[in-house]
Amino acid sequence: MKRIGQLALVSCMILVLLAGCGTNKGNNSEASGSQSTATSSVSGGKKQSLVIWTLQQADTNIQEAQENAAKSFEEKFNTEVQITSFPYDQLKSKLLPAVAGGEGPDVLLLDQVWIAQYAAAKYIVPLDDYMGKSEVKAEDYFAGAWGAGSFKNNVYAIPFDVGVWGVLYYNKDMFKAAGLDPEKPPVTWDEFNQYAQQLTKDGKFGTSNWAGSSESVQCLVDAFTVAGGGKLLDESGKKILINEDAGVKALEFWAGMSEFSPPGSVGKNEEDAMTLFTSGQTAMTMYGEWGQDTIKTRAPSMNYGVANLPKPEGGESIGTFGGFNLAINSNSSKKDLAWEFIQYSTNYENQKTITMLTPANKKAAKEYLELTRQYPDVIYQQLTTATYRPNVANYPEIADLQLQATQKVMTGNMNAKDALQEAADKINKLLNK
Amino acid sequence: MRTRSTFLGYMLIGPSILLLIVLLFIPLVYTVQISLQDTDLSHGAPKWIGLAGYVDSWKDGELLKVFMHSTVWTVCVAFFQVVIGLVAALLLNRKFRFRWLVRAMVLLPWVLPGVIAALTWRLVYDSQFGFLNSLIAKLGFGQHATDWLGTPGLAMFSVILAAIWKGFPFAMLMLLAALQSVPHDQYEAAKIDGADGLRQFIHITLPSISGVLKTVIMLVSIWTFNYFEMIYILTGGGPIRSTHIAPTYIYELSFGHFNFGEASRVSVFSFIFIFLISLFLIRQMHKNERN
Repeated sequence: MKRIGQLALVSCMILVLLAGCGTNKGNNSEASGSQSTATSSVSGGKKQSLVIWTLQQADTNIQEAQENAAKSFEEKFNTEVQITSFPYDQLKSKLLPAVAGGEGPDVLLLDQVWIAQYAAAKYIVPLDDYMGKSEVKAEDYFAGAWGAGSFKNNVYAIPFDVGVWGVLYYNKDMFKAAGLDPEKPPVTWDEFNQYAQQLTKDGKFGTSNWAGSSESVQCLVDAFTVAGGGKLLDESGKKILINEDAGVKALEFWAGMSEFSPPGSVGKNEEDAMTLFTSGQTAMTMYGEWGQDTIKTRAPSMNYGVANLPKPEGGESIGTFGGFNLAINSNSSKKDLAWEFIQYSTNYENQKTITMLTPANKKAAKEYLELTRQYPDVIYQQLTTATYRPNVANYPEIADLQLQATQKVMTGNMNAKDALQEAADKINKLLNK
Repeated sequence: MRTRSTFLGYMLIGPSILLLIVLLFIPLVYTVQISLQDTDLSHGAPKWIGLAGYVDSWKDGELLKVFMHSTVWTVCVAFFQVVIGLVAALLLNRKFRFRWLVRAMVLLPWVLPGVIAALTWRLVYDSQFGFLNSLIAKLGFGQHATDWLGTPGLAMFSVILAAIWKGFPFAMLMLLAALQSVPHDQYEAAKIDGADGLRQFIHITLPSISGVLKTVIMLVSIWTFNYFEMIYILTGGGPIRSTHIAPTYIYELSFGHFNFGEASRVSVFSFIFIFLISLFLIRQMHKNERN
């Protein structure tokens, strides 16, 4: 009798377990069922639903603006917008497996450096046809951000928001103390080095470079390469050009800053450099334009200026773009609606309020910068000319090889020419795989 | 009657077997399946390549370097964790005032969350303001600004030191428990026979705790091999990849390069690696039990 009781108990447990699995499955099929009915009734009165994955916003104002924008989109197109937001790392690690598995959102928010990978694997669709039928024009957006959204002569992703690596922050009080004119930040590389030398004294340093495990350093070295008239990739996208003269000089400039930097640059990253700047240990630092927020919270009373990145003799001041673009999942059954949503969220009106970084729409960006930033013209100028990182599918691996070359030079293991040659050989092999 | 009770037995372990299958075996098989594909997205969607990928993985020498780092890391960290743990256990097994307090304090590194411990070590190793450099200066070896985490030759040493500090209390705790179960009369008998401290340790203490010691060595080795956050936070595998071990490399391949196939291959290799280590250690344990 007792044993039968036990048996019954166990079977109940197993049944509950199985039932659990069963109901889950039921839910899933129900959900997908409702989706498919939604798609089949495009012209009908039933609402379509559009799934969007985006980044979590720390700023509640932006979040609210996004929710409002989504609501008015819902009304305008008689649809339902489902926005799921993730922190950056989670978006990065969840989006690709989801899309590769034939699922994921209809509209994808992609970091610029992911676009080539998604495009090469045909996980996102080319937007040229859609663009032909709409008012979206490349000229309305920052050229570099637009370039980052293209792959092999097709447009794959429309710029949503941007940031530039970087601008030059300098401490005016430290300039004064060193006998420098606080209204005249360095313009050329030579001036920068000379000022940095003058500012390095009494335990303080002129600037701080870094080469820790972070990609920002590569953005800056890329920027200096292009600033010196160099190119990162050739036209075919099969050959890297960082080992040419401009690239070598760029890396030498960056590594040479160690002379005026606190010891131990290699293990540092951009945040360490910013901390040194906000704590008054260094007089100049390079950081994205959003660094103003960091200074505001950490050193609100600091008397600082913002200038364009120093340029090489005879070159131009160039930064490198970061930021996010919007693309359409090739498995989406609502591509037209997704395109409407992309247009909607990249137009001038909405761009002013819903972006996390600076808007990618130039007109909106101008107003945004004037409202939120000091030195808006400097930043706008840096954004207009900024370049973008090589848009090739295995960019992450390439950036890692570049970073290793930078580390080799900064630890004194190799000179810039040899290190870049070695990196270029490996990168070319990857590009032709 | 007998069959019915066997059936009940199966029923009872049924749920846990089911859980194991869902949570362990399915992902395991899935990993092996992905490892047979070329998932480098630069040439399109994933495709099946069979075992060829396993051969290609070794071609550029990166993987060999990673496994060499993994071996150095695992051997050094596990060895010193156990040795220091054993010494600490022997010391804490003696009677002294405030022993309870010291025992609790020594456990601190182990109970501290890994990320916080790693971030603390970043500060210790800072070249400009770090505790280690100022300690060396105070000890009279002169002012200097060694970049502990940024110098390729030193970075591995630095992460190993931090990992030993983080993990040795576990070995200590287990060995202390084992030491407390060694009967005192054996020591008394040895003392009467004229054995000194070292002999007592070799002939009484070590044999009595050898079972626990071996288990500890095995656990610590496996955990160390798979230990991720310390290196990830301290160096991220750098500088110039001098501290990349298997887990950080797998992470970089999968979530940095999005090459899940290659990441799965490296995972399978690490699985085999750990499996062999465990097999060896388990055999050692059985050998002893038989004697």
